[in-house]
Amino acid sequence: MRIALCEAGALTPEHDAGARADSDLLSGFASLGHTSAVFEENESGMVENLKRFDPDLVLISRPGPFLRLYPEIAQLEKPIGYLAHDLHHRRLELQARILGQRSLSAQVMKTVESFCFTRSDLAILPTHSESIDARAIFPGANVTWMRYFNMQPESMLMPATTPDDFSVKSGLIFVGSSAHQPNLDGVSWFIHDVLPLVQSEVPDATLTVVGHWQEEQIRALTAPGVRFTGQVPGTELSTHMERAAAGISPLRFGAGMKRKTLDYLSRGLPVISSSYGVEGLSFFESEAQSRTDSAAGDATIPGVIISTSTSEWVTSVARLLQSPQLRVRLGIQGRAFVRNSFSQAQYLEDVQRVLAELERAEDE
Amino acid sequence: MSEVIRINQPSVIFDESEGVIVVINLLTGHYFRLGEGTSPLWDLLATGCTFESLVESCRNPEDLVRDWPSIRSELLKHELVVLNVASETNSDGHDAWDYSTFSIEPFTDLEDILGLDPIHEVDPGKGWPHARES
Repeated sequence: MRIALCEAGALTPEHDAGARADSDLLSGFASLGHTSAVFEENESGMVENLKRFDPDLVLISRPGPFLRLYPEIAQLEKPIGYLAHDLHHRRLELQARILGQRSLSAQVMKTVESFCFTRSDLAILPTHSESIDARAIFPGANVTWMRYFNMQPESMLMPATTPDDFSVKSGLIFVGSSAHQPNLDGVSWFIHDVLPLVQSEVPDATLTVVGHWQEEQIRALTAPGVRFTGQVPGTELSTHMERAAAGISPLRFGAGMKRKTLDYLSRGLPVISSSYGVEGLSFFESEAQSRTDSAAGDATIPGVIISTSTSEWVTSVARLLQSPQLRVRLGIQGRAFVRNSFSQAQYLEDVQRVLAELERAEDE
Repeated sequence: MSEVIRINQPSVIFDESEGVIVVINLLTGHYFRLGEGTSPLWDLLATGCTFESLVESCRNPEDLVRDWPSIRSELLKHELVVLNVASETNSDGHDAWDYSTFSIEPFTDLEDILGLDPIHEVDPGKGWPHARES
């Protein structure tokens, strides 16, 4: 099968989670024996190049490219899938509420997303719960879900964490750039409201922020124990992850599955997260429980301490930093969860299923 | 012959929430906020109607007649509606409706909103939509 993936620009997996999800998808297509190519919207002659490629299926990633490209690509009369990545308007609604903004952005985005979801032959979200919500929000839309996370082979090869490892690990890590508003808000909140209180209990508590942040943002967030590395290559990211005692996802709003949380867990790092940082993951845990006949019910996420209020965050972070045993236990549980629920085999099954759904959708 | 005025679909898409209608013109990349109270008129424009049929079904036609030239002008200026000669279109038999007010506020920062999450940035020099070289 020949599959075209349309994006706004060159894939930059080191920059953003969406591009990493696209990259995972391309490697998934290759593993399944499909031929795929990326078409960048800002390249001249993009649609002509797409026609020459003669795809069997076209996937358009994100709302902006879909909105702009759909009218021309629809003329090819090929099945068109929309890679939604998340429900963007919902995140903007939450952002406006949390930050006290009065803005049309969320409604504008909802209008755009309505177009994307209802015009595509199949819209693809990263969580089961969002796919259900999207069907209700956009009546008539054909929506499915798939894992947007393919556990990296190097993570699978990493040795199991041992207590000794944790005795030399220190500090917290956050991975993400400030270009994503929930990251900017969450890290700012954590540094201003949480970290000083943690440091009153654990004086040597530190936070390393990995990703691209602007100079003025870094200046505004300068605080004892806080270090911004800037954007780093994958090998350096691995080093930072290996040295950290725990990962944090202090997101106060958001939508979709957070790769950063799965990244931490896959490397054996325990995680402290808001509910937004683990959005959509309970489905996979419930699924894993049902496979093993474990007790059903409200699934917690293995390896993650979910915290809501500032005081909960302070307590959780301090407790985790002071207890190597707890970190080991959570690290092992979290890594097992990702291994069991986000394996390459499961990822490829999802990819194959979605491609079949998209082919079928065009026939219906 | 009367003219039928209708929303310029599929180039124009819209969504209503809590009385506020957001309209996006995909041809220009501009979006618009239609003020509260505009909904009944916008719904009628979605089906296509003549000015005469709008007036006939309106419970307070004097206000509509007074404002209509500017409403028509604004909608045409922003390419949110198109005009056709009346034929067998659905231009008659509207339910009675109340005209209260019409306001339209244009915005040109759609790319900024679309860029709020997608971290890729499209070349701003290329405008909306991109002038592609084929």
